[in-house]
Amino acid sequence: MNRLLGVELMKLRRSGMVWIAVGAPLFLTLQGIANFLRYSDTMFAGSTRTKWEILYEQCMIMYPSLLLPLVITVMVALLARLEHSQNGWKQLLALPVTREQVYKSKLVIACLLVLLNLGVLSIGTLVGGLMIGIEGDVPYELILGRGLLAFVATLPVIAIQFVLSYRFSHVGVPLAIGTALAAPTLFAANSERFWLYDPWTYPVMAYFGPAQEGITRGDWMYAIACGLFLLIIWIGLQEFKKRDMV
Amino acid sequence: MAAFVIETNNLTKTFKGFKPVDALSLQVKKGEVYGFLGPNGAGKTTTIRMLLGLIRPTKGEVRIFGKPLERYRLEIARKIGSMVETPSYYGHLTGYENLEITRKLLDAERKDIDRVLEIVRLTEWRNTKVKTYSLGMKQRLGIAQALIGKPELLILDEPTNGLDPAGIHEIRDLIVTLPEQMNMTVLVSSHILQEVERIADRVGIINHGKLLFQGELAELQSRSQAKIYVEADRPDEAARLLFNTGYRIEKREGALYIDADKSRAAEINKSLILNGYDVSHISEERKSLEDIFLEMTKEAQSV
Repeated sequence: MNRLLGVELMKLRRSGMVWIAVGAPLFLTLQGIANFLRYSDTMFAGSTRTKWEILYEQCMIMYPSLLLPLVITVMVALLARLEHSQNGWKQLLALPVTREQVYKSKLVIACLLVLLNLGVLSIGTLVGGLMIGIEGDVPYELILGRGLLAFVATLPVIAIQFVLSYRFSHVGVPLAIGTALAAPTLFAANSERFWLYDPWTYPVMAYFGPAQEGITRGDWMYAIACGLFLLIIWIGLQEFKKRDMV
Repeated sequence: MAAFVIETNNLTKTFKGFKPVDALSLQVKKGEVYGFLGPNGAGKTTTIRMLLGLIRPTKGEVRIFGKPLERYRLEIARKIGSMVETPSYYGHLTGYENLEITRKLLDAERKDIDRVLEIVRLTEWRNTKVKTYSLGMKQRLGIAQALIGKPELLILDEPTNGLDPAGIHEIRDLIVTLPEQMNMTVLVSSHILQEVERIADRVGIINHGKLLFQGELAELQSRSQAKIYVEADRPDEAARLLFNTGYRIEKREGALYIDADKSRAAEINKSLILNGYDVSHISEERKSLEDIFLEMTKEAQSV
C-alpha cells in the first residue's frame, strides 16, 4: 500500500494537477485581498464585523459554491484519466497489487489533493491578512477550523466524482454530471429546508453556516457527509473489484 | 515442481451472449516458447487477460506455476511479466519514470531498470517523455516493463505490433534467447504464423474461442497430405483416366491435384503418356504451414 501511494504520487509529476489544486484557491485569495484593500475605506467602512471577518468573506465567498465543486470534479477526473487514457489499468492491475489497494491509494491521493486545495485557501487568507497588517486578534477558528470542516463537508462530492470518474473511461461523463450537479448549489444553499438533501451545498454551509451551539442541522450535515462518503466509496469499490478490465 | 507453467481447464468467458473464449484447455511447459496463434478476434487477448486476472472467467480454471490463479494471484503476479495488446504508459512521465513505477510495485532492484533499458535499446531516451516516443519505442518500453524483476513467465500479446522489420527481428531474437539465458517460459501471441514459426517450441491455434490445435509445428505439418500437381493437355479426359485407375483428383484452373505422394509420380506420369496425354509439368505439392493455418482457421469459420 505504501509502495502504491509512492507510485501514485510519482504519477502526479508534471500532470498539472498540483497546479490546479494550488492555483485556483491562490487566485481567489489574492483577489479577495485585493478587494479588501480596494474597498476597505469605502464599502467596508463602518461595518459591524471585524476586519478579519470581512477579509475571510472576500476571499471565500466565491469558492465553495462555484469553484470548489468544479475543481474537485476536474482534479478527480484527471486523476482517473491517468489510467484510462493509455489503458494503464491492465498494466497496473496485472502487477502484484490488489484492486482494493489500488482503489484506496487513488482515493487517498484524491483526498490529499482536495486537502491541499482547501489548505491553500485557508492559509493563503491567513498569510495574506497578516502581510497586509490587519489589526485585531486573528480568528484562527474561523479561518483554519472552517477550512478543515469544509474538507469533511466536501467528502460526498469527492466520493461521487471519484466513483463516476473511475467507472466511466470517458472523461466527459464525470465532467458533465459534476458540472450539472454543481450548478444549482447557490439556490439550494439558500433554501431553508432542502439544502440538506444536496451535498453540493455542504461546503457552503461549512464556510458560511452560522456557528451554533448544541446539536444542529450543521452537525447532522457532517454525519451525513461521512456516511454518504463511506457508502458511495464502498459501492464503487465493489464494482471496481468485479469489473472486467477489457 | 508442476509439470506445466500455465494450465487452463475448460476456460470459458461469456460476454452478453457471445463466447470469446470457449472451453479452452491450454498447457504451457516450463522453459518453452509457446506461440499462441489465431486470427484477429479469435479470443487470444481475452484468454491472456484471464491468465493475468484482469478478466474473471465465466467457467473453468487457470493454474499458473501449478497454483490456482484465483486464490494465489498476488504470489503468481510477482513472477509474471506481461504486455497486453497496445502498450500502457504514462505519457507525461519519462521512460525511466514509467519503468520506476513498475520496479517499485515489483520491489525489484533499481539497476534492473538500466538492464531492461539496455535490452530494448532505449537507454538513450530514458529521460524523454513517453508521449514523444514513436509507436515502436512505446512497444519496446512495454517489453522492457515486462522484463523488470526477471519474471519466470513472460506473457506478450502481439509484441511486434507497430514495429519496423528491424525491430521485429530484434524482438524475435530476444524472445528466443530468454528461456536459455534467464530461465524463462514465454507465451507469445500473434495473428501471423511466420512470426511465431521460427521462435516457438510449441503452438496453440485458436479460433472463435476454441482450441483447434496444440503441439509442435512439425506435427501440424505432418498432418497435411502431400498432393501431386500435374499439368497436361486435355485435363478433363486425363482426370477421368486417372480417376478410373483409382486416384482421387481435384481439378483447379486447368491443373490436376492428385491425392498421392511423390512415390507415385512416375507411375502417374507413365500412365498419362502411354495413353497419349502430353505432360508439361509434374511435381509434389506440400502445403506450407501458412496454408494449413489459414485453412484451419477458415474451416472453423464456415462451420
